[in-house]
This record gives sequence, structure tokens and C-alpha cells, in this order.
Amino acid sequence: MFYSIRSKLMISFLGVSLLVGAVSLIVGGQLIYDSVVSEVSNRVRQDLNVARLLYDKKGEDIRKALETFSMGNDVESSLFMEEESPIKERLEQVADRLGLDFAGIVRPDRSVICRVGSHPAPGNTPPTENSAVIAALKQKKPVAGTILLEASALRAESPDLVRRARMETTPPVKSAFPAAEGETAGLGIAAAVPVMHSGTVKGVVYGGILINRETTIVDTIAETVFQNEEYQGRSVGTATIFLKDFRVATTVRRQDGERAVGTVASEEVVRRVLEDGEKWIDRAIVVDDWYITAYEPILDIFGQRVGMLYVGILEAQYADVRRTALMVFTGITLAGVGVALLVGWLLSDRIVRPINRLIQASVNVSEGNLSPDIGPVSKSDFGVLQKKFQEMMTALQQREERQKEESETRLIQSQKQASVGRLAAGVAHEINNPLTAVLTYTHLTLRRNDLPETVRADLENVSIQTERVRKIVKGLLDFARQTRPETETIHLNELVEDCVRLMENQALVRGVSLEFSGKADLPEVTVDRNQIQSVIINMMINALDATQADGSITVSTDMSLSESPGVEISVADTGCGIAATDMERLFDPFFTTKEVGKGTGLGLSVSAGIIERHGGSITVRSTVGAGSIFTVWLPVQNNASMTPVPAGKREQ
Amino acid sequence: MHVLIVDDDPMVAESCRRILGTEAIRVTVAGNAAEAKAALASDDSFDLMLTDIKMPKSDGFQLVEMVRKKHPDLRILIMTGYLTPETTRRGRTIGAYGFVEKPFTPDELIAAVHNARK
Repeated sequence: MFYSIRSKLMISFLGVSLLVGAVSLIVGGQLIYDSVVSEVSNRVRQDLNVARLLYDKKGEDIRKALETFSMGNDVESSLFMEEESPIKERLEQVADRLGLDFAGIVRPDRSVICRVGSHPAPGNTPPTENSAVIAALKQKKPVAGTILLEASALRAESPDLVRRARMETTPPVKSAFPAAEGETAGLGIAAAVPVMHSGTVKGVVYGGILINRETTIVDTIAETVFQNEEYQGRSVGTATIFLKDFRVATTVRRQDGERAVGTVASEEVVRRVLEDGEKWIDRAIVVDDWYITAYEPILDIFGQRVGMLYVGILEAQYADVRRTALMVFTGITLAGVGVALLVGWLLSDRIVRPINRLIQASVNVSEGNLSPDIGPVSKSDFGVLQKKFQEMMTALQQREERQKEESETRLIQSQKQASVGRLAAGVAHEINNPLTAVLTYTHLTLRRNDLPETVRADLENVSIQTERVRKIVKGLLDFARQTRPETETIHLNELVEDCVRLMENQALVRGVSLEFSGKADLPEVTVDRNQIQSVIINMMINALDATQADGSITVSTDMSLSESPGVEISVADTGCGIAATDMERLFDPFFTTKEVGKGTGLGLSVSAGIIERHGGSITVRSTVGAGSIFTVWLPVQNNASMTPVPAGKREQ
Repeated sequence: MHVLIVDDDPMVAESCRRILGTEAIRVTVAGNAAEAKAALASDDSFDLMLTDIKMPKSDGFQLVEMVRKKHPDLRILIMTGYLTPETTRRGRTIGAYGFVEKPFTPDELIAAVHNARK
């Protein structure tokens, strides 16, 4: 079944469509995904820049507000008071407006003049450890930026901040974390503005935000950058601020919906961003999902890497794009396979149908129907085969008709021969008795010495004519005899050569050249030697009778390739030829073109009978005025006893 | 020499008688098988029998078979106007000495008779 044209075609189509489909599936899917990832990476890179601007703006806003605040006269005067003054109220207003988590005014020795929020009495408050303040005192100009707030610094600002900064790590990690056991440092955005008087620093106004658990910055980033875009109920864009490798403010949610503060970044990202100080833009696992992420280090006001800023876009929607693309490609491939199978089926049907019709037609032919229906002739090159098949059928029909005609002719011929044979046998038998008497008395009378010459001459004529009658009767009987061949296996060339030798003298007398050319290595034939010899001699006599002096007779033997294996004996003469009207009567008994007394008209009919009983055939080709060729065909594997003798000829 | 000619055609029998007469051979003629048997029974001087095959009532073959039994020493020639291989085979089987094909010339008959006598 796998060897049929149909299955080959369909497997080929299927293979090609599957291959093309699979390649386009893999390559196309990857291309689409790559371009999407690259597009998204670019977007994330830009988003990170926006996030950075928003982050930095926060510090600048605080600085500007504090600068404005420090320009008030009451600030400078407050520096010289021991107790809290109305300045604290104003500072609290500014802190409220800016959402500051801590703010205060300190002297150059960092002793606190006033602070916002809940804190011990000013006298008891420890000096600030705020690094922004330290930087402002040192640089004698306003500073703003990220600061690291260790637990002690936080506590100094406000015990509340220590609680807010503190968070459980999940999973518990030992990161390079500057905090005591059970405490957590904080990351802050702060600004400090020195209050100058006659070129010396008289005090510092400072304030800032604790980023730990702070939501406004990351939410602002997420809102500004991602416009709260959602995908399947989840925020597409996320933003996070890391303290070292530690998420302290984030929009990333855990599975329980809580913000994923207290979790850590992957080691790979930490190494790249915190340790090497480079940007990271790539896929990364964030908490428990794949994101296309961008990280960059956050430097504090001293230029130390103290954290990371992160934005990321959920990969799921792009993975879904890929999945959708793959599904579309798969669908297209499957459709292609379906179309390929359909086309393969239709095409093979087109190819196979005429073949099947030809096969059916061949079956019909073998059953005897010589005009089978082979369907419409195809315009393709297959049509050539169909046309050849039709031509073959026509040739077969013609051959069959010809054979039918020939066998009918042969049947009529043999029936005619049989009836003539019976008649001849009966008549000849009866004629022989009176002929015996005539011959006897004529010869006995001729023995007498007292006969007058005229009587003797007449009697001799009687004798000669009686001999003629005797010959005719003998010919008749030969014709009627039609005996079964007594076969032996012989070399045909030897037999024909014998015949030629027998006729050489006669040919010489008549001035006709007689040649024999025997084909070498002829197969042996099984025939009745005497009968075949008489046939060959009869043909040679006929040829001699038809040929004038100076003519030639060529006897030849050859292999026969036309019919089944056989040999041919041909006798060709350059004689008068045979008229077309005589052709059909040639093998009739008593038909002769020879002069009266020269032939009985039985030779060829007897010969034909002999050849027929040998399973052979005898044919004539002749051109009037140019000569004739008589050809006897004999089968090589002759089994004469198997050859049916037509009814009537067995009787003798 | 004494030859018995058996033939239902008197002209053939007479021809034989005339031909063999020229050779001084004594000839007795029988027109059918019965006459031939009677002649053989009454006279034992026959050297040769020449018989036709196609005769009314009992044909030549039957006659030959019968004569071969009763007179095994008598040579028999079969005369026939229709000599076929079958005739020859059957004739030899039943013990005929030879065959003479009709029509024959006087010389041919004389040669055949002398040949059978030797």
C-alpha cells in the first residue's frame, strides 16, 4: 500500500507541508518573540529613565522646599533660642505638605533645635546622625539625595521610623545589611540646607522620606510609566526600590496580594548591578513571575551604591503573544497539511484514475473484449499511453478479424479438399482397373513385330496418353491420400540441399541458375522427411516451370521471428509471377496455369495439406513479370501428432 | 509356374493372364474370394497368388489372412489401385509378400512376379 502512487504523493505532500510548517512555526515564533522582547526591553529601558527622573525629583522637591523654608527670618533667630519656638509649627506644616517622615533644625554641632514627629524633649534628643546633615555641614551648601539610615539614626529621628523600617525577610537572607539583629536599616531620600550667617554655618534645616514601606514613590512611578495597565487582573508594570538587594518599597505583589517588601533580588542581578554598578536589562524572575526587567544602582549622596531602582513589565502577556502566534502557526500548518492531503488526494486521483481504467481495460481485453472503455483521453503525457493503448486495441482487433477470415478461408479450403479427396480416391480407384487393361493390351500389341508403322505410331500415342492418365490418377490419389506425417528430427538444411541436388540437372537443362543459401545454426525440426521433400521439390518444379532460360531460382532457409519459433524455407524465382486473380485459387485442387499435360493442378494443394498437418503454413508473394516467392514456415517444436487433422482428411 | 489371379474385374484378370502367358506362366483366374479358395483347395500346384483388395463380399485382406493359414508356403502379392502406407503396413502384417500398384505395364507385372518367385 505504501508503494502506491497515491500514498507516495500524499506522503510527499504531507512531508513537505509538515516540514515547512514546523520550520515556520519554530523560526516565526522565535522571530516574533525576539522582536517583542527587544521592543519591550527598549520600553523598559526608557521606563527606567522615567523612574529615575521621578525618584530624583523627590529629593529635589524636598531641597527646594527646605531652602524656601530656611529663608524665613525666624529660622535664623530660632538658632539662638534654647526652647522650642513657633518655628517648629512652621516646620511641621512644611513636613506635612511634603509628606516628610523626618525633619528638623540642628546646630552646627548637630544638636537638635527642633524636630517633627514624636520624639523626646529637645534637650534629651540625641544629635542627628543624618548623613545629609553631615554632608551639608561639610559642604556648606544644600544637599539632596539618597541616604542610608542605620537603625540608630532612625531611632534618633523617631522610634516610629525604626518600627516602620523593620521588616521580616522572606526568605530570611543574610545580605550585606548594615543592621543589628532584629533591626533593619532604612533608605531615605533627604535634603539638608545649611543656614549661613556672615559666611559661617549657623545651623542646618533637614528633612526627608523613609523609603521603607513607602508607597507613594513606587506607585507614582507605576502610575506615570504604566498607567496602571493590567493584564489578567495583574499590573503589567512594576516598580521597586531596593535597599542593597532588599525590596523596601515595591508595587510587586505577592500571591496573597501584599506588597512584596522584604524579599530579595536574584543573585545574578545583585552581582551585576550592586557589585559591578552596571544596568541590567533582561528577563528575570521577580518574586515568582518572569518579568522583562531593568535595574540600575542607586547612589547615595556620597556616591556609594546603597540600593537599586527597578522597573519591570510582566512577561506573561508577551509569552501569551508568542503562544498565540505559535497556535496560529500551528493552525496554519495543520490547515496546510489538510490542504496538502486534499491536493495530494485529488492529484493522485487524477493520475491514478486513468491508470486504473487502463488496468480494467486490460482485464477486459484478457476476457475477450477488444474495445474496452478507457475513459476520456488525458491531455497530459499520460494521454500518450492511452492513445498507444487504443492503437494497440485497434491493431489487435484488426489482427483478430484477419485471423478469423484466414481460419474461415482455411476451413472452407480444407472442407473442399476433403470432399475432392474422397471423390478423387473413389474415381481413381475405379479408373485404375480399365487403365491396367488399356496399358496391358497396348504394350502387348506393341511387342508384335508384324505391325504396320502407322499402326505402331498410333499405338505408341495410345501408350503415351495412357501414361498421362496414369500420372493424373496418381496425382489425384496423392492428393486424396493426405497421410499423417511420420516424423523424425532432421536438419532442414541437409534436406533442402538434397532437394536442390535432385533438381540441379533439370535446372541446368533449362538454362536456369539454381542457388541455395542455408542459414547457419538452424534449429532442428521434427517433420516427415518424405512429405517435406516432396513439398520442396514441388515448389522447385513450379519455380522452374515459371522461369524462362537465364532466370534464376534461389532457395534459402532462415529463422522465423514473425510468429512462434520456427524456420522458413523460401523458393524465389524470377519467373512470370502469379496474376492476382489466380492467387486465391492457387491452392485449389486441379487449379493449374500450366499447359495441358504439364501439370495436374494438385501439387500445391497437396503441399498445402502436408504443411498444414505439420502445423506450418505456406505463403506466396508475387509480382507479375518479376517473379514469385513461396515460403514454407514450419514450427521448431513441432509435434505433428498433436496437430489436428481436419475431419475428412483422415479417410483415405 | 502356376499363378492364381484373384480379381473381380475380368479385364484386369484377363490382362494378367495375357501378360504372364507371354512368359509361359500358367494362370488360373478367380473372380472372388470364394472361387479363389475353391481353386486353392482343388489344386495344390500354385506357386503364387495375386489378389485385388477391393472386392465384393470378402475383401482381399480377409482372403490373404485365410490363405496364409491354410497355405503358409504360398507367396501372395497384393494388387491395388490405391496403395497407401496403411495398405502396405496391413498387408505386411498379415503376411503378404509384396505389392503391385495398378495400373501397371506388362514389364512391371512380370518383374514383380519373377521377384516373388525367387
